[in-house]
Amino acid sequence: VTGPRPLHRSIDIAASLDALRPLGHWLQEAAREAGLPEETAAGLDHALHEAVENVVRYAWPDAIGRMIRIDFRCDGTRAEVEVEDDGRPFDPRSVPPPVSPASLESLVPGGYGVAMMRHFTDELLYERDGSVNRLILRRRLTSSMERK
Amino acid sequence: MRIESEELSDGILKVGLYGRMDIAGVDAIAMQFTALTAPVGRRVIVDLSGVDFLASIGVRALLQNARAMSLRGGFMAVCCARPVVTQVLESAGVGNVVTVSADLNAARATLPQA
Repeated sequence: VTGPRPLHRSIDIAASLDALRPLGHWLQEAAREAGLPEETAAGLDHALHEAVENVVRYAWPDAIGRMIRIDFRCDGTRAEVEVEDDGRPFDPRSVPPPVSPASLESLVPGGYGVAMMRHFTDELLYERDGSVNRLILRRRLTSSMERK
Repeated sequence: MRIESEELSDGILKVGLYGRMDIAGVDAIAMQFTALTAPVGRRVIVDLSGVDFLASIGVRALLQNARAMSLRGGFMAVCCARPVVTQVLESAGVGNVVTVSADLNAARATLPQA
């Protein structure tokens, strides 16, 4: 049995919702190549999807022609995906958790994306570097099956 | 993404969802999903065993339909989710407002009798 191994992959994608599905395939492929556990890969896939969807929808007044840089890194002990864009500053960690409704009838659905990013990562890191947003979704690879 | 429905013997409708429930997936099934759950007093079990990816937009679709059903006197239960989809449901707090069960029989037991 071989465990996770070091790997670095990068991709630049158009800031388009149509890019989300191919991006998911790209991440799954990188995760397979790095030997990540299936559950870890699936969690990162979900977290990345939500992060990039947020960027596409909200980073610019109009995302047409914009690009997003994605880096996947694994050093054997942790795996992370970095999302870099030059849109308006946005730190997802500032978003409060969704409020639990008293009943289904009073529910206003929404706000689940950032909750998913938090759920599927061990660390959610953000920095604004000049005109660039840099978000890192990080998972530890030790004891990952028992982490949540 | 595709959607299938099956009337169970006790008047409950089982709705099976299959595929990646992201933006494109939800677009593909949204109208049929809403139509299936629209009748007044409908009792529905949504079988998620075929869903391998559930984005936040998919969670929203599930909850919007569950809410609409509830307002029309109906009930929705969710069952059979794979581990990663179960985690999505947990992260969104779906279980606080909709019953989430491991299997079909358990979901059936949570719905009121006709």
